[in-house]
Amino acid sequence: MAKEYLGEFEELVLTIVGILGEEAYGNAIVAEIKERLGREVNLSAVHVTLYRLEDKGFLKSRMGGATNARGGRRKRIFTITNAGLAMLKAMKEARVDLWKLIPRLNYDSILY
Amino acid sequence: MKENRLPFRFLKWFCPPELYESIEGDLLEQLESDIKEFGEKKAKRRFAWHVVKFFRPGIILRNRFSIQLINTMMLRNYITVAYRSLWRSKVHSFINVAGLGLGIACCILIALFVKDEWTFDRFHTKADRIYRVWAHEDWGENQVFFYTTTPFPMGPTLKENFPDVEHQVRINSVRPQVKVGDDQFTERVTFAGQDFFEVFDFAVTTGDSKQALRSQANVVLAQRIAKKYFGDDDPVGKTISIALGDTFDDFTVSAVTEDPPVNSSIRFDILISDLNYPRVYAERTLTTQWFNITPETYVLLREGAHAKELESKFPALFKTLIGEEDFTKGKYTVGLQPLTSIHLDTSFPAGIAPVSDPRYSYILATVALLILLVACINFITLSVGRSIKRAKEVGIRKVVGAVRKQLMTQFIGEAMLVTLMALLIGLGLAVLNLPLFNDLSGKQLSFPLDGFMAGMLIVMVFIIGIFSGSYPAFILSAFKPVAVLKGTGNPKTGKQTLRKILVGTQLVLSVSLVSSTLVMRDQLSYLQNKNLGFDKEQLAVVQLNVSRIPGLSRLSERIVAGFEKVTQFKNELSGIPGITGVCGSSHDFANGNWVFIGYTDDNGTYRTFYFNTVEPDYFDLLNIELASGRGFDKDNPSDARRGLVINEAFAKELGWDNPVGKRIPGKKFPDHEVIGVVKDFNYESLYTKVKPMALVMDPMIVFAGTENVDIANSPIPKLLIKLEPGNMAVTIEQVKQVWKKLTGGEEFAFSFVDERLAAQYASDQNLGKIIGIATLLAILIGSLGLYGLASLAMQSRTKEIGIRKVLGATERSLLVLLSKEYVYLVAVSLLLSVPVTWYLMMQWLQAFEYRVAIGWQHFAFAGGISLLVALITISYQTIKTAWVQPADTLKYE
Repeated sequence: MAKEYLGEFEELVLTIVGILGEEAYGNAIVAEIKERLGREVNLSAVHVTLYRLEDKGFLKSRMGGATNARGGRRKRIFTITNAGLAMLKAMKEARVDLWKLIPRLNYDSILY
Repeated sequence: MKENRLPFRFLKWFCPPELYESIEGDLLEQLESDIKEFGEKKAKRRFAWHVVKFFRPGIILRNRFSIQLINTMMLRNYITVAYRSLWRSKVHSFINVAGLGLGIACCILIALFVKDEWTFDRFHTKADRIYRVWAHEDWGENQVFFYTTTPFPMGPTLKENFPDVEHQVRINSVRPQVKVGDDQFTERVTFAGQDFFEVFDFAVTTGDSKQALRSQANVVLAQRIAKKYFGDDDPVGKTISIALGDTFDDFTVSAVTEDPPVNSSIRFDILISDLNYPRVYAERTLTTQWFNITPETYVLLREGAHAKELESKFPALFKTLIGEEDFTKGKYTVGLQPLTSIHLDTSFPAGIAPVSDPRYSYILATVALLILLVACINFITLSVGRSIKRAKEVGIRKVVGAVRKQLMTQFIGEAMLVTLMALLIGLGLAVLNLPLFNDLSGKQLSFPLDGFMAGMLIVMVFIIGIFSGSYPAFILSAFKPVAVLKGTGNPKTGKQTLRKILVGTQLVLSVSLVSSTLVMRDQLSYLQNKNLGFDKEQLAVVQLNVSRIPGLSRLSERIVAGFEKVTQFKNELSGIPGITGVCGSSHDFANGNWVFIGYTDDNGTYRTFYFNTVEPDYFDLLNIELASGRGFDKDNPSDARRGLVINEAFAKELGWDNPVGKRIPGKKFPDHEVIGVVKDFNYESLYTKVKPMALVMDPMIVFAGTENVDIANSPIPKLLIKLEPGNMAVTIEQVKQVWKKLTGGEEFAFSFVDERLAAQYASDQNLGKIIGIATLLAILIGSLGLYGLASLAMQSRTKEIGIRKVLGATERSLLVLLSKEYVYLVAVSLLLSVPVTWYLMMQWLQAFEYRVAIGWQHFAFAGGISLLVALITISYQTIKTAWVQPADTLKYE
């Protein structure tokens, strides 16, 4: 685990998959990112990231059921694995730890 | 979504199948929402772009590459099996490898030849900007002049008037006497423009190329000449004397160059600056005479300048330079020919640089490819024939799970392996035979292992391997495993007709080559033995030198002076017993054109003829027959003054039935009279028809009346010496002594006329030899193939023969039965080869005005040879098969 780390975009996608639960697939993730962060991302970039996260074991995927929408094509639904959750958590904790180390004083001195 | 098929097809092509559906779905969903947001048109454009964005490593590299390029496990097995199968049938493998090797060797050598021909003059770094100036005049009445040598003022004029011309270089050669210390030589000395080394890339070994030709007193030597004169000493700074004008002038060696490369059109031994022109040519000639052509003019265009554009500016200039009347009436045109096209473009007349016939390249390249084709056909027929033995292997492989593609790869790979072995042998053969090939082709080719060679070899292995391997691979991989493994009957080994067509093609090629060789041999021996109308045997030529001493600068005067020298020699030589006759003549044979005269006759028609100044005993010495009238009479002074002897062609052109007593119908010719007509003799080579010709004792009869003179070769007299057969070496030595006595240190230039005549046809002689060798190879390779094929055919017929024997067939009838098929093949091939040979040989023969006819005997002989070779080749197999005891072949049944 120590050697694995996530890039910014990977972390973002992984988090969104966690948020979406059972509804996480390519387009939904693009839409969710746009809605929550106002950030336009590429569908292809999202796909590539999803596959990479799956390779790393933070996500798993299965094919959803067919619907009448999208030309009857099935969705590939991604769900976050325990390893993925642990990774997110570890990253968040690491960041908080670091955040705590920034001295208030210095922060103020920069402001004033 | 029909209109979106293309993006999806693209996606499907690169996308891993397991990811495809969801990606496609996502894309479609995105499209739907885009349509709502942007409208249909824009959404579709965005859609295509979205698809393209999926073409990224993160997706593409997710493909599992199912086509594994090298399956190492199987590869080892393939190699083992290939090795075993090659080893098991040594004869067939030998035939394949040796045949292909020979074919490849031929191809390599001929490719070197063709490459050399096609890269002539390309070694100059500025080659693409160098042009040779040509001019064309058409005065009507068949007075057309097209030349690539130019007037002297051409170069300087172009340079002055057009800024696009960066440099101009004039080049022409003379053959003066050169004195080095006490030795005197007749050498080819070349005038070259001062910017010679700026334009051309001839490597200078010592000395300064920039300044080498800037001074009138400088001379540049080619290495070969420098060595001849100064041995291993450093020649730079040494002095040599050249008799350009009336006297010897001293020149200082300023630089030495490497000998011009063999693939250079521009050749030289000794270079001097064109500042020396005034020493040889009159000032008028150098500055204003636009219809006196001597040097080749080369121009180097500025970078970015276009030849066509420059040419379009020429007419305006030349109209003013040569006068409107001449310009319009003569349709005077000046143009530029790229340097790189000089060697092979026969549509331009030859200037000083020789022109080669591109047909030789084509003929040789065709022959090389034909030989290779014959070898490839061997490979195909033998592999298919042998496939019976490998049927079981194919069956087992298929049962174990080999797919057809794998089997085809295996067999094509095997073909490549054989080709690779053949390539090594071919390379070896090519390297070993390069000196021989150089002798035959008259070239000095080397064997560079450069990019061209490597590329050619790689391409060759692939093309040959795939070409000769794919058909057997196709046949072999098609075997049905059940049929072959059950062992009931052999599988069909391809259509018998196809194999016959292949062998037939081989035979057609070899028969064509054999008959072509026969035709060529006939023509070449005809060239040697044709009665030329004069006796060329034991006839020697010695060139005399007449310097331009003061008072002897006019050509006609020098000719007369030359004949005085001839008289001196005659007196001295008459005492030598080995000499039967001596005679002076302005021209000899096979030494370039005679002086060519043009005049306008009384009716205004432009006519031309060649002429030669001779002594009265010319006719006797050369055994030239008279058709009517008489030859020159030594004791009749009027003959020397006004006598003229013409040939039959001359009389025929003018429509004279009774020429004696007539005169040339041009007003300007002084008083003269035709006193005799000689039968046409071939004073030119057999490439050209005998043209009108006149013989005189006094050249002024002709010179005074001419409008146009083309002096391609010096008319300074030569000594024609008729020797007695036998001890000629001694006689020649005696002539040399006389020469020394009369001329001092001058170089003794002696040659035999028959040798020179033969040398004219050297390139065709060599082509004949090359084709002869190629024919031998084709027959050899072809019969190897036939042998292999016959052995296979016999094997499959052993049982049939056994049964026939049991039923009472005689051995003789069996031999006929077994050979019949091949005789039939040869006969059909012979028929098919006739038009091929006919066409090819007519192409070649057309170069000769005097030629043999292609007759049935050539084909009959070629057919006979081919049949004989075929029967001998298969005889071992047929006899073996016919003699075998039926019990041996039938007992296992």
